[in-house]
Amino acid sequence: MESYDTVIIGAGPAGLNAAIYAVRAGLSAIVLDGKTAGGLVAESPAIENYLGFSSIDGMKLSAKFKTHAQHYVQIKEIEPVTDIIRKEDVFLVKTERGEYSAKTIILATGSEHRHLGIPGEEEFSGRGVSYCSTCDGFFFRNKEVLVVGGGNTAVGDAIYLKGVGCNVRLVHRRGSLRAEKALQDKMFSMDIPVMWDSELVEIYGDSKVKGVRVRNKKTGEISDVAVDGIFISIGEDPNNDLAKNLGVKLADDGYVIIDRFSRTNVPGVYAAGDLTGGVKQIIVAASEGAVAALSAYEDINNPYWKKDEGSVEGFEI
Amino acid sequence: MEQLIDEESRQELKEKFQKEMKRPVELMVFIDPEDSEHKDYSDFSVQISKELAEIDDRIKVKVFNKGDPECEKYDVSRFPSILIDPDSGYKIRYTGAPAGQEGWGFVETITLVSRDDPGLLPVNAEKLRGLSKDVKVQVYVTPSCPYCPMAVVLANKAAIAAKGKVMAECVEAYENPDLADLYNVSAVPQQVHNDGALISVGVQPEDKFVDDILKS
Repeated sequence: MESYDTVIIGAGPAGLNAAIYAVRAGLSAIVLDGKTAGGLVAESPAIENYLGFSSIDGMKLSAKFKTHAQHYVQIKEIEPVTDIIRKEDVFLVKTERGEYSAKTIILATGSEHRHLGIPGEEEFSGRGVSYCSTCDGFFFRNKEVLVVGGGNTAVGDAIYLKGVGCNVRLVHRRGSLRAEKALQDKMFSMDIPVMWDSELVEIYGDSKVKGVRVRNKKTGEISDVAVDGIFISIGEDPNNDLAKNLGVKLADDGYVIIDRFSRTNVPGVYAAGDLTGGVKQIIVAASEGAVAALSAYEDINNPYWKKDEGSVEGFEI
Repeated sequence: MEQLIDEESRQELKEKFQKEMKRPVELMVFIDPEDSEHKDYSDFSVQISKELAEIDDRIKVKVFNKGDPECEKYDVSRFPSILIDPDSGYKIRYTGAPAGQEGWGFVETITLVSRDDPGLLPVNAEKLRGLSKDVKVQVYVTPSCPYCPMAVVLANKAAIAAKGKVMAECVEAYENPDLADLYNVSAVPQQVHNDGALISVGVQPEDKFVDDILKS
């Protein structure tokens, strides 16, 4: 079995930066990802103002992250971790393909697209309902498209889809957007209309989507809107299964609680990036990864949990 | 066209090929020089293949034009198409240029073929080796879909395990909208087995992907 000082799970910005810092600090490390490296960054049509880049497309930035990290560490893609078991002082990381032993674990499993949970959403997934504008936008050129949401991702998706040639409208359940002002200004300058205070209650169609039923939250009025495509960008939910199995403490919303050292409540287990919630910015994910790696280095050499056997002293929220 | 693979990536690919390739792999690129609509894709397909061959001389490239006898021999009717090592008995093809995200899967497939290694879990490779019928697996993709190469590589791995039985075809939907429309493709990756007998959307787990082939 391969043994490492730290096994990093997730190859988004948090995991990859953790890997770079871990190896630079002198730790042996490997990165495992159930999908391909890059994380949700790779889906983003445009990343604006990641330090050093005024604007870069997500695919390019994630490729740069991967290339950079590969100078230091092996990244195993399409190798989902199925379980992590603690055995005395080491962790046994089980994947579909094998097992690894690790002194420490850095969880950087990120988050995945949240679903609306309304009738028709699952049924028409892949037949008009999409969660990835860069993947599927092209299929809706010159067609009627709704983007659901009000954050940076939703507004960025609306801008991207308009640019691809879709007739886009944004649907948002509130009367104002959460997206940063610069993005909002750009969207409004492109004449993308917004259906305010509105929520989808049903998606319908036959072999593909034909329309949606929208409820105005202020008036209660329900109307039918004929559309060909619906892009759902209402946020993300944390991929916290592994964290749960390890006994890591989660907040009410399911995100992993870490202290300022990126430590979780479980000695030897760190978390970084979108999995920890918060502002969910790439630069923050990368920085948490760095902190997690340096804490792992520190704790391997000088374990805080051995100072007072059995306690989780040092864990501060 | 300017160089597609930058110097840094060339160096990395060189190391990867040195480490992972075992035997030569032939890429057959089929283009239609008369078709101006697909010219950029054809140029890309030829150039990316030739640049890979520059990086490792075990990668061999042959270019054929529409109308050449090889089109019939290898059953190619859409241009550009790239066949990976067809004379070894593998049925792996890219219908449309392996551009954008697809480049990763294309390179990965070349190295797997070079090792004659399906790279699947042994149990799944074994199941596929026992396949007695021919199964065509098309994977519809777009170049900007980060998950698509995973689905394509899975199909290509199946084609390596079930050599000559599974035909894996990566169909680039931007370039082949008529094919995409045929199966109402509106989200990628989408798998289409045996011209529509089974359709699935999204990247499938390896076990399910293999089972879908077995029941096609």
